[in-house]
Amino acid sequence: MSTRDRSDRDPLVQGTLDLLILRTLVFGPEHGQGIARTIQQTSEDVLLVEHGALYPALQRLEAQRWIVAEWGTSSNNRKARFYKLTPAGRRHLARQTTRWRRMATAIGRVLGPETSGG
Amino acid sequence: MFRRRRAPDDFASEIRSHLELEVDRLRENGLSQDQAEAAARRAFGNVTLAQERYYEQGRWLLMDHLRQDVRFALRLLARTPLLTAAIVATLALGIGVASAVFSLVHAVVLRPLDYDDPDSLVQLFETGKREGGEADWVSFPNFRDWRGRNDVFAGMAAYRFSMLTLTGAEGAESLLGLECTDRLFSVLGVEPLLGRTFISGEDRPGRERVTVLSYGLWRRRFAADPGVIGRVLTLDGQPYSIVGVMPATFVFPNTVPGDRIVPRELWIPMRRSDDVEDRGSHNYWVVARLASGVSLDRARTVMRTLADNLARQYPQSNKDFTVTVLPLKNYVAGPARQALLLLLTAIGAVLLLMCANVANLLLSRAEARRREMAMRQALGASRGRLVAQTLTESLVLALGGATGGLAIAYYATGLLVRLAPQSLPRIQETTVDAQVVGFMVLVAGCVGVLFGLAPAFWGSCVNVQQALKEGGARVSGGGIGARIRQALVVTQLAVAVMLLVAAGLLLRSFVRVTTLDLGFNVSRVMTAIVNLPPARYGDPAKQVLFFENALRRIQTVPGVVSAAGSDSIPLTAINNQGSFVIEGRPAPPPGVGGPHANRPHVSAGYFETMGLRLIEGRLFDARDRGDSQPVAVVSDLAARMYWPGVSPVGKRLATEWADGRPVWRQIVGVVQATHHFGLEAPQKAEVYVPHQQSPTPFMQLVVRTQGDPAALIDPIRREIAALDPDQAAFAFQTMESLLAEASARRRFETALVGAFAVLALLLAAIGVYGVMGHMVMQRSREIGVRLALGALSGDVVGMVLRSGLRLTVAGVAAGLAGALALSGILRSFLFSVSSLDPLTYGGVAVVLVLVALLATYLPSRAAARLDPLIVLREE
Repeated sequence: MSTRDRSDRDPLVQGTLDLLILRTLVFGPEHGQGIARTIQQTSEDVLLVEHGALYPALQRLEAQRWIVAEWGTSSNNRKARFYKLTPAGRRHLARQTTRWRRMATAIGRVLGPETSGG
Repeated sequence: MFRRRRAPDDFASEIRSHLELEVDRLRENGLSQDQAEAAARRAFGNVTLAQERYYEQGRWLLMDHLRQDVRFALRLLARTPLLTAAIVATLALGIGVASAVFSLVHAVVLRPLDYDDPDSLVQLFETGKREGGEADWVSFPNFRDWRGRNDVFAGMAAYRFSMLTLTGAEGAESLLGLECTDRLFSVLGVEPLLGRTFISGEDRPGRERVTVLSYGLWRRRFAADPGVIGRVLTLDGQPYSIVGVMPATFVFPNTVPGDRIVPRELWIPMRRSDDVEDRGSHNYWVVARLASGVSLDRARTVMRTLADNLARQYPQSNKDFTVTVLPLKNYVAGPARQALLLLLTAIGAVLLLMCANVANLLLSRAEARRREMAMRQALGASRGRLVAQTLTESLVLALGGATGGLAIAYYATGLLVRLAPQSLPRIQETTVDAQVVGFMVLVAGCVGVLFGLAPAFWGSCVNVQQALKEGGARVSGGGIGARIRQALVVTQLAVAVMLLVAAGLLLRSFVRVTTLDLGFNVSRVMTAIVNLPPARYGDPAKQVLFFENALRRIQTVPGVVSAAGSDSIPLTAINNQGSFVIEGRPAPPPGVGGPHANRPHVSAGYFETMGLRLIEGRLFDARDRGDSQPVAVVSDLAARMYWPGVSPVGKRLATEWADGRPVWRQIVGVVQATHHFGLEAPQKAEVYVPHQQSPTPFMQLVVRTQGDPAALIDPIRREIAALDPDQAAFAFQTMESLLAEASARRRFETALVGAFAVLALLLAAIGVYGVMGHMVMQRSREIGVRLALGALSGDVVGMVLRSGLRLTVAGVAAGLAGALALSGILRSFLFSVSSLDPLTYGGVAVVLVLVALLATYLPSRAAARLDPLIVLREE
């Protein structure tokens, strides 16, 4: 049996996580753990992000030069690597947000007004 | 993609910091340290996986994998030292020998000549339409017409070799010089090291005598004195002033007639001689440079038209001749070109066999490692990773092979140069150079990738579960691997058959050549050249006297059986070709040729000394003096050509004219024709004339002895010097060594192709042995069952032999078919042997089947000796 589950590399999921990370960084530089916590809190715990899955995404975003990273000190004096949105990242976020909104609306229309909880 | 390099350590500390921050937060929410740590880890997920993913995206991975793979490969290879050594040695041998042969081919054939724009240089010949169309030298009047009447050449020059006697304080010395027309150096586009070359019109009669020295002569005779320009040399008794010295790299011509190894020492403008007005005397070589923008084809068309016009204008001498225009490059490489390309093909085939063998060895390795591969795949190695690993192993092997190959190449190149006939043009300039090393690296790389990939793909196609279950060693006897290996062995056998057929045909040709009836007896005969300078020996009577005295003196040397002379002896490429007229037939006007023959001027006793057989009439003897009845002896070939059906004895012919009238000679005898122009060259008519009746200042001495002919060198030198201290006998060579030189190239080719063929046979036998041995191992269970059920060991042997025979027959059949298909290529290398010689083909087939059966017999015996109890228990 393989120990690898590659479904988390699905582009849709990947894209979603990327977007959430960029969105979180709009409010200022943040370290990995902070980003994970923020996503969890702002999505009211609906989106359960495995913290480990965050790092490949961060690395990818860094490679795209949408974010930059720097070692710094956290509010409780711990050394942490802080990520910051670049202008390019900000533009990318704006584009992707619009796309997502359009898609969400379209999906909403297809599924109809009434959802059965779920 | 990996723009930012970040050490894995840095990433690890980021994860550590993440976990710490999370623990801090959870503890704030009231969890204990232990609980908080556990929760943080849970929330993070698989730390190792995250790290691994990070790692795989970086270039660290590639580097690490490479290092790992190389280390792993080395460890694995060291664990099977015999197999590894076999593979590396096979590769090294293949690459090394291939590189050596390639170096040789490069030096002789591929490398451009050391002249300006060598590709536009051509060699021009008159080609006889009558005598099988072979290229012949050019007569001077034709050269003049060619030069004057065309617009396709930027320049044209004629030249001929000339033996010059240099005299001075250091004693007499004979040198090989070149007489050339004024434009030779400008046609070649070469500059002198010192001084100048010849200027326009310097070859006209009456001009001051000048000479250009070779670098070698300048160093040897003048101690590289830069002030040598303007000094005067005495050549053949005439003063020549030195006007230039050529650089060390300059060699022209690259070939010397008769393949004799003599340095070209100096160049002088063309001297006046009788044959410059004789269209029938083909005594000159012509080199030319194409005008810019003129193609070889156009030059050929123009020259052919020109030759046709000359043939109409001078039908007597020219009607049987046309012109051949050959790129100088091809002319220089000459017959060696074809032969070396044949060698290259042969070595290519051997290289192919080596690759097949190595691939076979690697395949059996891969097969043995199936279980390991399956295990690694089960443990999570990706297919790409497995391919990379196997590829690395092959490349490590290839690298080892290439290194060994380089060493072998250096050694083998030196060996080849020593073994090769020294007459191969430019052979001494052979080096293992950068291009050859490049070629070798390319070969090694290709070989590595090629058989790296086959086992890798095949290994990675393993069905994990099946391979593990079956225990690895004994999977799928008829699998893809076995089939590939069988195909490889059939190919090996086929290539071996083709090489053996080629070697067999060459060997039979070689035997034909060496057992040829030469027409003369070569044993215990020494030859030497004496060339009298016209200044002191211009008088023909003096020439006769000198040689009569010289021969009489040499005759008295102890051990000498007989001594004689001729101005052209066989196999030295020195000849005296020209026209003659037959009494009673339409006599052509003077200066125009008719019947054509080589016309040696020989002393009395020449036929006896050479062992030429008399067929009819008598030989020259003491009766034939300068003032007696002019006589001639013709060869039986000349008799058949010009007096078909009748005896020529008593008929008259003329080779010379006195006061515009032919000097009629009575034919007194017929002797056996000789292979004057080489063992494989077509024979030509011969008309012998007594030296006393037609003296020449140039003689080749032939001296037969009872003992070692080499012991004659000093006595002959002494006798000549005693007669005239200003004269020197030189170019001492035994008839036997002349004969050896004449067949040296064929011997070299035959030996090399033969060696390659034996190597191929050996490799094919190893291949068959390997495959059959492997088959026995794979089918050991089946064989065990058969034996347990009562099969006799003879049955088992028969079974294995039969499957071996199937492979062999397939390979031999394919090889014979291939050899038949390619036999046309070989035709030009053969000598009176058909390229379809059934004896060779049959013999090769028999040899191969026998060798293959032997290679199969050993594994079959092993199979018969299997103990069914042990085999079956192993399962």
